Amino acid sequence: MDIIKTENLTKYYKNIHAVDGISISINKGEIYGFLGLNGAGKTTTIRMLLGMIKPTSGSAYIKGKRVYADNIELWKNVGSLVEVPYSYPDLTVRENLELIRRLRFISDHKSVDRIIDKLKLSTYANRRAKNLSLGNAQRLGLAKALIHNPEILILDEPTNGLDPAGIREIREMFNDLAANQGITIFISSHILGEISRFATRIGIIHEGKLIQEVDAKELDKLCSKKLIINANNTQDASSILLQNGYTLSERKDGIIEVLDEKAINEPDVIATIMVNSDCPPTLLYVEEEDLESYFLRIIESNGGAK
Amino acid sequence: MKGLSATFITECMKLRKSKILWITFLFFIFIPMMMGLMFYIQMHPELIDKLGIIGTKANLLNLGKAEWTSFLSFLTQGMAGIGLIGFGFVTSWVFGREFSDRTMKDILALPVLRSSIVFSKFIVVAIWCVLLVIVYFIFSLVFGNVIGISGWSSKIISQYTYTYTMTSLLTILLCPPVAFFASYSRGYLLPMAFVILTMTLANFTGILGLGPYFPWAIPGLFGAPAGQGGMQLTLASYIILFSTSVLGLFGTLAWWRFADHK
Repeated sequence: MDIIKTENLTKYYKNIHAVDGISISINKGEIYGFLGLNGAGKTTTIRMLLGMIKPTSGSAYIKGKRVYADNIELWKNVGSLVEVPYSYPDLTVRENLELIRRLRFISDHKSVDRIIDKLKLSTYANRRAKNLSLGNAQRLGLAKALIHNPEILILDEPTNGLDPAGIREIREMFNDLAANQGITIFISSHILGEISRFATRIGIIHEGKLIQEVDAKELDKLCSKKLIINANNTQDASSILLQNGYTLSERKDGIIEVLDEKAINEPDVIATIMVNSDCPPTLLYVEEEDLESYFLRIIESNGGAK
Repeated sequence: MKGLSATFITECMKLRKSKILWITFLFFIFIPMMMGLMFYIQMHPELIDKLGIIGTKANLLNLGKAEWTSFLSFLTQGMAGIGLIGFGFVTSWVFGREFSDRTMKDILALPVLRSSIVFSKFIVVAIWCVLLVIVYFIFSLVFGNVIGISGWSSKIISQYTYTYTMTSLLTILLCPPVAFFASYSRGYLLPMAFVILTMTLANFTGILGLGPYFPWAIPGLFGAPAGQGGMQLTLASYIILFSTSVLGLFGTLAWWRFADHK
């Protein structure tokens, strides 16, 4: 059964199509990375998944049950974090968590201490929320989302404000929750490089539309590659390569880029040709498109960032 | 019921740690203290020149005889005005804080009904306002006794206690529309502007003789000495006030339930 499902989920604000016909299905134990630029519609989608915004059309389902404001039973098994996490500023970390414990009807009083330990907030347990650093405020937000050991996590950019060690720690925690406890995680981000490290599937949203869904394992194959060549005489080198049937382009700095799959797979053949033509390469390597460039290329091909 | 109890306890937890709670109590102690000072000056006219602007102000207020009847009447009238502002502020804060603290999104996807949260907030507002009413009354009596106002009798006190209590309760009933504006505007500014506007209009409708039909003028008219200004409250006045309250309550509930929480 799909744990999280949306059917043609749409939200219009007057003439603005914030979210436009998004249909996704997420299985148990999956970590679904929801990727998009700022303003792409990620947060609106998440708010519709959490029943905070009523869709103009379409529906969202959690464990087969339709999401709407009064369907409060749904939230027993869902933990969420939406945008920058804020807590009651005059209450301490412990008091903020105690408040959520009561609102979630968790009878075990120790759950607060456990989640404080798990999120490494012990040092700050008695500190008021308004005096926390952004990173620790984020940890408190995650603690509130995880205090009831939910089966489903819906998180909007949860690693914002965390330092690199914190990001890695949270990443490992998500991997553990999904792999060992079967927790389903829907997580939004605008950084493909980060999300590709733990997501099992990635959906790219742009201008409210889901423009691509890809298995995280396939991501590398989708990134473009090119062979980078330099020589003492690049004009000669270009002529030689063209005579041998390669398609190439020359950068402003004189470096030659070859996009032929044949050249990328067999750079040694190119080296041989150039040496035999008395124009040996001074530089020869395969350059792989990084994930951010791939993400921007996909966005660009769908109308670009506005 | 379980949800209402959980949300009520959490509302109390939020309130207990807030400075605003204590600031409002101080404000509701300060006002009767100032009223006591005005009456003290009235009792000792020789102080008017010595106290400068405060003395002049006390003289201008023309408080009548410095007796318990005028003091309690002034106190009750004061509640109708101070209550509108004070209770309006309390309501704006209880509802508006979820937006200014940006915690609203954290309390919407929880296994409690939004109506439970709204009702809990109203219960907290009501309890808070009743406590302010009690504090205001007790400190008024204390300051009245300290400055030695004449004419104390238990009959007068009990008679004014009833008028004061009813005036206060009618004022508290006007909190729900403020809650609606705090929710609708997602903050404090609009509800406080609304409170100031209603106060201004209450005075204006009073001048026009329409006070008995304007909800925010009704508590003041109830607390006024009988026949003052020739305006009598009728059954319609109470129906208008209760309808305004109920409209505010359902408006707030509907907004929390149906609005898009962006």
